[in-house]
Amino acid sequence: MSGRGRPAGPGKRPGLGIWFVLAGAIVLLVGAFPTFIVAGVGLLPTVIALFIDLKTGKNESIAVGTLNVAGVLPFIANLWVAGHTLNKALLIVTDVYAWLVMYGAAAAGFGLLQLMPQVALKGVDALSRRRIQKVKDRQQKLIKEWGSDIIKDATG
Amino acid sequence: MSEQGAQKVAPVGDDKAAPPPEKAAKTVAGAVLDDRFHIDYRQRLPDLDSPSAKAYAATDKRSASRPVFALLCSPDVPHRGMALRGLIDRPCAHVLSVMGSGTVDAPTEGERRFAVIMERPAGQKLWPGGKPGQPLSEKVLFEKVLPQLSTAIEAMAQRGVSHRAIRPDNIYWYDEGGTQLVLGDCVTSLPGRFQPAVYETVGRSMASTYDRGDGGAADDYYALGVTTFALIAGRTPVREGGDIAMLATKVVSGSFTAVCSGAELSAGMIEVLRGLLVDDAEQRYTANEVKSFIGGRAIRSPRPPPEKRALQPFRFRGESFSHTRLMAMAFAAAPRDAVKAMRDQRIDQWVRKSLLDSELGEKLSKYFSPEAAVGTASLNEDQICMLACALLDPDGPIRYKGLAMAPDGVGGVLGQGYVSGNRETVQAIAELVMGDALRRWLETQKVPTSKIKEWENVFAHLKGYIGDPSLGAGIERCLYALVPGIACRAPHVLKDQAFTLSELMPALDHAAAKSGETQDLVDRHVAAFICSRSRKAEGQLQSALKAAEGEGGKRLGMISLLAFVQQNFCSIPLEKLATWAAGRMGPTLATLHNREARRDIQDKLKATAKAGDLTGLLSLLDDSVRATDKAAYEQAVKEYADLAAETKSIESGEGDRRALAERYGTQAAFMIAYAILLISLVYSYFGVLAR
Repeated sequence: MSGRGRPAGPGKRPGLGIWFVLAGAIVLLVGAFPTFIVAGVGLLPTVIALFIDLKTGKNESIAVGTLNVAGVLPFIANLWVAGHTLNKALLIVTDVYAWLVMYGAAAAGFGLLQLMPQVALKGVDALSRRRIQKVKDRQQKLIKEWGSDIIKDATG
Repeated sequence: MSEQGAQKVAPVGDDKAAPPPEKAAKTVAGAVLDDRFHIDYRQRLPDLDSPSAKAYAATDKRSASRPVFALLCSPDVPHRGMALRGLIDRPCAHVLSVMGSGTVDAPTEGERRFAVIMERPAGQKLWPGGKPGQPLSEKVLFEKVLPQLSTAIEAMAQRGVSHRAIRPDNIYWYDEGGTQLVLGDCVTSLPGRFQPAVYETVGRSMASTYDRGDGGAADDYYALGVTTFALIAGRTPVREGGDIAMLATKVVSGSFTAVCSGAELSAGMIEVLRGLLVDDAEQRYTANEVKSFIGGRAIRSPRPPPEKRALQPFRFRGESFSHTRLMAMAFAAAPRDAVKAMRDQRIDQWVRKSLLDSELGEKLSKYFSPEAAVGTASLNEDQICMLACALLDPDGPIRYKGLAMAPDGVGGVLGQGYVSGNRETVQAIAELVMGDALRRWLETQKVPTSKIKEWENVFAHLKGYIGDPSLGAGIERCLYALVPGIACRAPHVLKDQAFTLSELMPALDHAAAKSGETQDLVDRHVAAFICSRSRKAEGQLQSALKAAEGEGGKRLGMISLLAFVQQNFCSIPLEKLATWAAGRMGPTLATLHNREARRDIQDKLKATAKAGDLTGLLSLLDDSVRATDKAAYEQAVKEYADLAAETKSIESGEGDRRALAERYGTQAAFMIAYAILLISLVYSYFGVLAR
């Protein structure tokens, strides 16, 4: 994880989200075991992220989790369409392609969060440079119109 | 002061409308003055010369039948400006009429000259060429000379002018038949300037010849008395030993005896001369007495007591003196010894015991005894000597540092100081005016209180001028206030002989052609000259100096003064002066911040300068233009400062930018993630579940 975000203080108790996840997991374990199997295996990056992301706001967990869920949802939907059986669930979790999609999506979420601020920084820098250029152009125009004394008078 | 009475050291009024621009136009054979008088330089008239003015033939375009001639004045001799003004176009009976005046180009004289146009007499001078002629008979004197010339003096007195140049070689036969006499020129030089000392009263003959003061009719009657004697005797009265001997005899024996002794005169002539030459001006004959006497009324001429003579002479520097007036002359020549004699109280004792004049003794004690109430401790030797001389000779001139000046003749002496470049004279007069001794000198005078007040007023004005170091004041201002007939002495306009503001401006235009913009054409002389000639111009200068900030402001002030003078006194375009002024406006133009406005005004200045319009130049850089520029500049400075602050803020705000990028980047990442989630949901629902 990069150093972005504020780390949570030592000994801070886990957030409400984790409890929701655990509650959801229990509900799935009891009521929809095949789905639990697929979700349990597929959302593992999110669970890990929730545990290791100690920063305020848990931006990384959210980004990883959102795309991880987006990667897992089609397989669960497939599972449900195929009859929602344990056998079918095992077929999915043993499919390399499924792993690639689910974990790739989680990785994409992580990558997206790393990439976008950099892109934004480039944009903000470009805007600043453009503004500075405009300001300097205006200053040059003022100097041309009023003479170089304006520099002294403005700074004095 | 010369030109005194009327002038009283005030500016010469705010001369009405601007006179014709170029008063005098040069032609090949001569010059034209006032578009009226043509002066013919090919025709010299030496018989009509004045001591300081050469005569040339002239014609009056308005009245060709009236003969006139021109006198071209010497540039080194001031003329009588006030007398000229009093006489021009105001003819006096038996005085040559003054018809016009002004400065003209005079190639025969080498440069420009002040010209006076006078009526040309048909006859000759009584003493042509200054050489004594045949003695005139008493009949001619009683029937023509005395009645006609006393009428002339009276007529001039009524105009507030004295002639002060009455002598045989300045009296003309007006007609060819020799029936009418006229007094000649009295305006081309200061009063008494070229009078032989014998024609002057005792007091005025002791004064500097450069200006013996305007005096009054009494001085003219005295000169008439000496002239009458000279005409009847066929010679100028002289004494062996020259003027000093004549003066001493006048003091000791009285003027009548000094002038007329040894001559055979009729009883009637003796009575008239005694009346005209009496040394007490109050008792001197005037026109009434002369005419009454000639008319046959028996009038006994006054016989004032002779000057007091001491029983024992006073020894001073190896000479013996029995008369205080002569002692005063000797004292003035040796102030240090004089002061010593005063402080020794030898004079006190001599005055009381030998001269038997306790009143004078009292006065001397009052000033010079060790326990004197008035005290002279604050005075230097020259001032003490001046005061001592005044007590010993109250009718004498102001004697200070080798100068002897009639109180109404200080101007001419000051003028001579400038003309001859004698800084000591100028300095001495400045010291005299500023010191306290002059006030005390006035206290000693025996003239009427009104006269004393008049002199006090004059000297108070002079003191004010000298005490003021600003342009338009100073000793230069005293010069032009006292001597209206002196040309502006600024070196760069001297050759042009400018006597009026309308003549000064073209002179400055010529000077501008030769000078660079670094030269200040409005020097102390020009400023003082302008202020002395126009009270409004003085006000303009004072307000300009008050408002002036920095060198540019001062220059603009001077240009505004010139613009005022051009507008009011000289309506001709002055291209070179305007070009010079435009150059001088450089510093002011540089105070404009807006470059484009500066370039624009620079172009306009050039165009306006070509038109020779100083007022137009000023309007291009007037207060409103500068105020607008200043306000706009302040706005621009603020904008520049704000922009600089913004740049600085942007450049120093990398941390803020990163935080901003982090926030926006994270939000963008979330939005993309949510969008993909939504797509996944839609795909799962429609693509898989709904299949």
